[in-house]
Amino acid sequence: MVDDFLQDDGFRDGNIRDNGDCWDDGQALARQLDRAVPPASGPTGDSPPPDAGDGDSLVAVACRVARGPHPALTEVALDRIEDQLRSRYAALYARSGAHSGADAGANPGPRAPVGRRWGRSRWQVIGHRLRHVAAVLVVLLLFSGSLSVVSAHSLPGDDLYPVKTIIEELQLILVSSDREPGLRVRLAERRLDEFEQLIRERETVRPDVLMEASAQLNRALTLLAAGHGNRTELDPRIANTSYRQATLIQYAASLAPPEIYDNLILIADWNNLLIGRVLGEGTLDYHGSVVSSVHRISLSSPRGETLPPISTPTSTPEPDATPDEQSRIPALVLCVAAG
Amino acid sequence: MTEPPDHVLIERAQNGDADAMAGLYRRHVAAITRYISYRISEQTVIEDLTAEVFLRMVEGLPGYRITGAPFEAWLYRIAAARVATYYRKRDRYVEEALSERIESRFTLPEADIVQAEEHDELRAALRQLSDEQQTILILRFVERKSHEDVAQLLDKSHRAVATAQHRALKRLARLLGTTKTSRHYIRGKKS
Repeated sequence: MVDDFLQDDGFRDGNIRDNGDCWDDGQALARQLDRAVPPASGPTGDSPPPDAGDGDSLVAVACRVARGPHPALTEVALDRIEDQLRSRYAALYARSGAHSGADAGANPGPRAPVGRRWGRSRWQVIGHRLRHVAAVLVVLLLFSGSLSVVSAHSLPGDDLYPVKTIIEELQLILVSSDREPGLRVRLAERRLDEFEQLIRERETVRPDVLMEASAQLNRALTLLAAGHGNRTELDPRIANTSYRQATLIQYAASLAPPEIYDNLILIADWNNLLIGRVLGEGTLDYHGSVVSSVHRISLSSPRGETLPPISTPTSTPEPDATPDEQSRIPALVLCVAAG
Repeated sequence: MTEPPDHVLIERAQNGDADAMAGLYRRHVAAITRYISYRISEQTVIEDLTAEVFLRMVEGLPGYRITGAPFEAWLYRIAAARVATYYRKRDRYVEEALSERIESRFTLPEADIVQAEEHDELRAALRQLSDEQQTILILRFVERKSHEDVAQLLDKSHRAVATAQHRALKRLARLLGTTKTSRHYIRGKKS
């Protein structure tokens, strides 16, 4: 009995799993059924109804299914449906502006030219695809725009920080040579902001951020030496940024563990070279005092010494700074040297 | 002269050949009608749903992509969806449909009435199975497709189809009360 069979093999309603036994049963049953209700090789549905087979209940059920209703639509019904289809087809085809028309059913007319589908010209197809491409680009732009806004506030080590640096790289690629030194100085200033923020908010010292700032300043000086950009405008900013870096190094050195401290000393040396370079190559004339003061700061800062809070320089000249404003720079440097 | 295969007719229909579209309809209408008639008894509904299936085919042809999958698989999917929609809507009008059916039986000869009732019983039992199980049984035993063809039409593995068929037949046997004898298929002996 089927029920016994099901019980023996653990097959119960709602508890049948696709396990090996079930597969074996399915295969064996399939062979049985192939004998009782063989697949038709020709047109289906017209094979003679099978008998109940050898009495097996599952085969008997299969035979009963096979002997079920085999209605066929009358010719009138078939024609009626075909008329509906042709009418609908013609309407769709006409709407798309193609050849053919309401009488497409009776006379389909010449086929649409190669390259057309449902009457759409090649240019219509291309235009349709371009609209999709444009939509995707708009979505990408909106996404990247919002991503750049969000990433602008990220700090080194954040998930979105790589996005920020990629955007900066893209800006460097797109900017003209004359504007590149100014952009690099701005990026160096941004690195110092991040370095300071990391110390204040997360008590983390990241010398690599200072290294990046120095690299940007160095590259800006090289471009200025090659005649790109406005030297009068950028020299004071570079000097001021270097000064601020020296101050940050001094403060970070008091917090950093030994392995980072050594890195800070190296960066301080590089920073001194940068200051020497901007004063030596540029328009400023305070070479001696700046280099000696910064050098002394970096090498004499004892670890663990309590230093005054960093005062972020506010004297960074704007691009349209006047010579009078630029003259504040040496004063700031001397102030540090005195401290 | 051999009939062009489905994919040729599809391409022609997509390019504006109404006769190719009609050829697709004529080729598959009988199977789709049988499929629907195994799940719905009212003749007028069968005709309406058959028309709906092929109207959907006409509307969907421009976007149809020839991938190598059988064209009829798409038609069966449309038919299954139309049947499901019909039953969802019909639940609100069960009494009306039943009274129409009983009334129409008065005009049939007695033998036909018995057969019609058997068919109704079979449909009612089939309706207890899942859509997929119903489709497998209809394709295999009504359309007489091979297991491989059924698997291809449903985009399933041969193993999955054989297993589902086994389960469907067991459930149907119970629903129809056909549980006289059974074979133990694993060990090859009757229980």
